[in-house]
Amino acid sequence: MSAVNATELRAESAAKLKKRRNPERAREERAFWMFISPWVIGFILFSGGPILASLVLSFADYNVIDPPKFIGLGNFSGLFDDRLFYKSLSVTAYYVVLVVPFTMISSLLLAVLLNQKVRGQPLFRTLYYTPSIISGVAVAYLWSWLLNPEFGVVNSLLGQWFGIRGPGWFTDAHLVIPSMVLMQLTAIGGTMVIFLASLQSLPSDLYESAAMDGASRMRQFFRITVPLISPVILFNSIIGIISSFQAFTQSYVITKGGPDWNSYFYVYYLFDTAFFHFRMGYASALAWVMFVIVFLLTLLSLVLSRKLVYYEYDSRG
Amino acid sequence: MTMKTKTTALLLALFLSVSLLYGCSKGKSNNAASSGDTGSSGGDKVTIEWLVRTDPNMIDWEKDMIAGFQKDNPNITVKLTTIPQAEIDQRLTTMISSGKVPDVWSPNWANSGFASYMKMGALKDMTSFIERDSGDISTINQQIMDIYKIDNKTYGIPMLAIGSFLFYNKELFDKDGVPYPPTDWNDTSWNYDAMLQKAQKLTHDVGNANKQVFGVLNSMSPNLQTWGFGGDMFKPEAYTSAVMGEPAVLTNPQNKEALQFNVDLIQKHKVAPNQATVDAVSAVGDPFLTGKVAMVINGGWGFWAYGPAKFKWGVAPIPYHDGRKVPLFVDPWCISEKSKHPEESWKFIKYLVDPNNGGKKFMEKTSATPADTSLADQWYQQMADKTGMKVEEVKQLNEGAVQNGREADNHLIDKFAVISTTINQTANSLWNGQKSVDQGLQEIDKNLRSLKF
Repeated sequence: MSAVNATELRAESAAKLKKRRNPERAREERAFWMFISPWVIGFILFSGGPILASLVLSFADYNVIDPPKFIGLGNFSGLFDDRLFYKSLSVTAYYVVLVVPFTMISSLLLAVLLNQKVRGQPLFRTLYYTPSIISGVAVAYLWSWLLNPEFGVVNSLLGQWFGIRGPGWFTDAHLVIPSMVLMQLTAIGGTMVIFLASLQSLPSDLYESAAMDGASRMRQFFRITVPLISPVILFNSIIGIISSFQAFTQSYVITKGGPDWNSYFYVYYLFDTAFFHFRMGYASALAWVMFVIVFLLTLLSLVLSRKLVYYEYDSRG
Repeated sequence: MTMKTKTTALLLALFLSVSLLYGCSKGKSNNAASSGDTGSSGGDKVTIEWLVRTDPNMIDWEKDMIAGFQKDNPNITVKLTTIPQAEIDQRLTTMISSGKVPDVWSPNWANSGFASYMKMGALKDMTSFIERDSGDISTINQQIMDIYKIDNKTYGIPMLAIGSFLFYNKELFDKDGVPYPPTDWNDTSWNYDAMLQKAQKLTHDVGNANKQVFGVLNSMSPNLQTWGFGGDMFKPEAYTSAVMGEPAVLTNPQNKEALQFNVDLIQKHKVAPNQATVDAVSAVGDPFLTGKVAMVINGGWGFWAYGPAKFKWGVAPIPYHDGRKVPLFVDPWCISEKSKHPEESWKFIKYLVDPNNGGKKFMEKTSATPADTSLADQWYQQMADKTGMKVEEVKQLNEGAVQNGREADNHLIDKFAVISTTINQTANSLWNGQKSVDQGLQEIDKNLRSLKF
């Protein structure tokens, strides 16, 4: 009996306590919504709204002047026999396939180097990160100069040191995408910093015992470092796929999609459709198709990564 | 529970206040607009928006125009909006879709051009104004005035009319002892073969980036090059109806002759730079201004664009060929279809083109060839002073360019920005020698046909 009373009492006091704490929680909650409201409202008005609008427009014919006309799936079915849709999609896919591994490997390599304990390390880290804060247009101009076939530094050095006549980096149909991949060397700072942060959180005891067992640095890197940072590699790869699918600036600034459509990215086509063809509905359809493609690719990388990614506290350990 | 409702209420309140703010600003602008409407008849203030492309050389003229016009018309305020040319299309699309359009602007200052906006229904038919006030604009060249008359409705008042020419570097000619080309457009001995012969004498050291000089560069777009040979990639109706329609790329045999000639200049005779070299050189500056190109075929803006050259240069007609047509570049002032103040806008346009005031000052400031015949003599004198040519020569050259000229394709065919990108993608690989002309023409034809508008 008394035991029952005791539990009842305890339950009652717990309820009382909860009630007493409630106003404080509510105040906190209120404050939370107050402080976050600029972003929530901003998102709804300036991102969510347009996103919804573009979804609606993707089912309509809209030339900006006349009111949108509902045409059902017309825009989407139009994609199937649109030559430029396939061309721009394949150009973009080719770019993504090259650029994601390239960025991953080069930024990881750079992160490993910058993780070494050498003199002037903070300076190097700053120096290698700096290009990432420059705007895309400026970087594109810089590269168009570096790789200018007649007056560029790269080709004149190739000529002076090796006697090679350098190629037309951006004017050769086969080289233009690889050149744009090379351009990403100045844009790897962000990825590199994320890798660097994850490298710094690695436990040193694992390396010490591996070294004691006679594992070489190479072996340590592939057997310890890579598995431990695999979630970060996955994260960076997904972000990389998403952002390189949106490639636009370099092509718009340097090549205008040429030569012969070979750098005509998907987003460039989308931009032309909206602002030069004045077909907002079709452009919205293109945008949603890209969203679906990127979403599926992200899902695919998540599924594929199940076996490859190692989470420290995962039950599969 | 109560807390939840309170939070919801709070959020709601926030939303309401935000939407109220929106509503307020909307209400205000509506009020302003309606008071403005009555203003035109009553005497209240009216504001019109004038959209121009960003050009540091023109700011003084623009400010001068606004100050002068506002002084004469104290009830009208002119608001100036400047946008870089490459961004005008994007910004205008958003302006038009939100109904907040500029009142006075020039559609050719956007990359899309007159036809795209006319077709879209963004431009006002100005015929009734023109009929009413015909005396105010009577000195504008009638042939040029007719360019922007579509189905007997005039949509634009020309402010300038620039022809096309061949500019040549006199120093390079002198050095190699090559005689200068003539200034008479009817001189049939000045044909493409004559140009090639001169180019061959002027070309040297090709391949050595620091020393090379090319004889000639045709910087006209592929379709405009075909015009020079009597060809055309489009049917005549395309230019009058503004609709591209069935392309005439393969049906007009002159197209092949024109493109083959330019390919041969580059690949066979090696007297012209290929596209890769042009791109590379253009990054440093205008190819002609670098002094590495002896002759260049270009729009008449060369008259002032080549002003800073460190060498003496001259001007000649574009070489003769049966059926030769050369592009004219005429920019008009237009009023938006949705303008709330067409009457005031029209008044402002008349002020801008007035040959005794705005139009004259515009010519003096920009050196652009005037569309107004009463300004022609002054322009010939101005150009003669600049180039060291005789006044009669400038006159002969310009009159020939207008007589042999027709308005440029990009101003007359809807969505030409897309069409020209489509052509250029293939043309560049022709200039670079990666495709044969037949192959290229077929590809251009196929690509144009597959364009979806």
